[in-house]
Amino acid sequence: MSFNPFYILPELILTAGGILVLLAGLSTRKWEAPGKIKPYSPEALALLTLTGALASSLALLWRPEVVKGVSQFGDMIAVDPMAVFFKIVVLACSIFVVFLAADYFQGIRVHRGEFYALLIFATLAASFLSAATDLIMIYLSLEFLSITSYVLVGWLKQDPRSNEASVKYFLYGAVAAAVMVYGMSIFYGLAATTDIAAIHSKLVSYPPDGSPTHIIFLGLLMMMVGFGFKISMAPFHQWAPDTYEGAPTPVTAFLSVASKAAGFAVVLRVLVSVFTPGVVDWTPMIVALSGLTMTVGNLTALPQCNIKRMLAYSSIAQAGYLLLGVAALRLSPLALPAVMLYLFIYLFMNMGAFAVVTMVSARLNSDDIREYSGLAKRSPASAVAMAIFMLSLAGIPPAAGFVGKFYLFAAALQSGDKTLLYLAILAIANTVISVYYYMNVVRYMYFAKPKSDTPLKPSFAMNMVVGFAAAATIIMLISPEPFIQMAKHSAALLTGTP
Amino acid sequence: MDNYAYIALFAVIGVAFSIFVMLLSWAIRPHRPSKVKLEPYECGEIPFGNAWRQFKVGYYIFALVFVIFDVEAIFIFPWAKELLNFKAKGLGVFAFAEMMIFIAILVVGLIYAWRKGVLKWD
Amino acid sequence: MIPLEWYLGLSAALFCIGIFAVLSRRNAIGILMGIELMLNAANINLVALARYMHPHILTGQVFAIFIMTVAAAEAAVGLAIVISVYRNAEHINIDKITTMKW
Repeated sequence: MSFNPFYILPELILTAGGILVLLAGLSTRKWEAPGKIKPYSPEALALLTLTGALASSLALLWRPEVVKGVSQFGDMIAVDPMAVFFKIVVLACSIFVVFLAADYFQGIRVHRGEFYALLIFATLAASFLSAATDLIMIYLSLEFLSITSYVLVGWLKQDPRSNEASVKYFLYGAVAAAVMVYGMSIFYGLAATTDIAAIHSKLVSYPPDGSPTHIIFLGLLMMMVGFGFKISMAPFHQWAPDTYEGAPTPVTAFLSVASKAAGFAVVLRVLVSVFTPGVVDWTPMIVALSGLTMTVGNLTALPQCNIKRMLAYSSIAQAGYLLLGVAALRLSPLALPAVMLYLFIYLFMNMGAFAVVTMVSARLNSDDIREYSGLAKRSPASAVAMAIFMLSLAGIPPAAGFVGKFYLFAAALQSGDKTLLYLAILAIANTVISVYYYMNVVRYMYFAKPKSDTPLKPSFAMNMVVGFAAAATIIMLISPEPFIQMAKHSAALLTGTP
Repeated sequence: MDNYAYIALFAVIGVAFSIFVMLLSWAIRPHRPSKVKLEPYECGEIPFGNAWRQFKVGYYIFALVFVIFDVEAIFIFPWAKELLNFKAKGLGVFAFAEMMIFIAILVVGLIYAWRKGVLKWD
Repeated sequence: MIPLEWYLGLSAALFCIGIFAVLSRRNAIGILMGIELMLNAANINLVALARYMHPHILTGQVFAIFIMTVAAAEAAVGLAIVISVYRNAEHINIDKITTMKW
């Protein structure tokens, strides 16, 4: 039971910083407009906290003890490369979100201190979720993330759409968590422990013919309901479009990246550490879910005319592609790094897209795709960046999304499994479909006649954010090698090898 | 099965006893009904209107704050019970500090609620 | 002693009642009550399994305590959300909360 504060420094910084921002928010005047980011404003404190946590996570990633994996809080959380990697993704996402929110809340009279405090707490929850190695900890951090997200989604109290988004997210989330915890109680009954490594050793100790496979499968299925809700997997995705559309855009961005990444972290950890080949074969289940998720996401994205709703379905489809990598986890050593690399690329391309959406909706007060007509003239830089993000999400060469998809498909093909091959073909067909709705945005920006010619002026901070995301998306295409190395380095878990 | 027999016996006795007491009090008490006696009891206040009406939202916020602090108490009871065992193992300071951190975070929540005026009525 | 199967049966039944309430209720508060039933089904499972199979390991009971706490926090946030919906929509019938549809 060794306790070393260095290993959980990111979490400690987030906790302290979150409380500090909350208290600082009390002293900022109630309806003060955000304007520029001033020192001592909640925005600045939040940025400081998140950057500190990100720096300490980066410092952890290459430490030799961490590479082997360390357990903290009596085996409750693991400090291993995978956990640290997902923390980095989540923290980077939250830093983006702070910039987006500073722009979005201009002119909207809302409480800001609490918003950033809750954002930091949600980040804390997501980083605990990506490190949790105990069913209790998984449940606690998943619910912590959910509860903070419900409030963030409903932040615009006066807006009926934000209310609706929040109540739908809440009802779906609470039901999914209740089903998940029932599944967890089944595993507690089977193994008399909640530690996932101990559950695994108990489950493999059953003799092959006396193993309660059906019960194990039922429990796994019930847990996947809770996890599937977080990653917006197909049968449990219905909340996503409404919630993404109604939530404040920065929160949508947070849900689509940080929340999803943390969900994938826990899916990967549970599948790799507990359900090894001797226990239960989940590959066909994930294959089916993956195919369903990407197809449903892409087909329903086609007729959308609200850009946030379109991006919601797009993010469902992206979850389907990522699940393709998860399905190949057992058969191909490439799969885990491929999933992580894709999530890393997805972070930049999706946050970039949401940054442009935030910029436009804060200035035109609409999320209609038709509002993007002539963006190429009204704000040329944003239009170029948005085109890059759309190409990247579609997975077409001049952007990094292509590299990510290439590795995912390569992992599926390398496994040599027939069903995975069919799934990869389905994924390629889906990619072709998705080009239509991603390019639709580009078509509006470049070829449609604008309603007005007034140029849109993004703030300096927004230009920086969008530029950074676009640059990252391009750099990862031109020289993906360091990022692939990082993903390979991070594809190591405390218990269980993929 | 003996246990169930006891339970059934207690159930029968319990129901019979309460019926008996009610009948007894009905038999020996004087009957003088008046309008005031038939009104629902509301801490001495004179009730008005229907119960299905809008309540001040302050009630809900009070209730929400109460629920949170009420439930947090269930962590403190096991801790109090186990603290001496921890002390015997030489982890007394550790266990004590952990609970203090927990309570400190709760206090931050309370300060927040207080500064937001949740604890003020009107 | 009552056999373990009875507790597990009770919890499974409670879970199904909860699911039924969630699927059939149209009132947000009713759904919330169904969710509480589902969580309590898990609690019964955990406590019964802990008591019968491993009386000296308290993990199950501790898990149940955590579930109760989280359920309280969730109910608090959920009710707050429902109140804010009510303030704008003047009702909490989730079938009628459909401003976003295509």
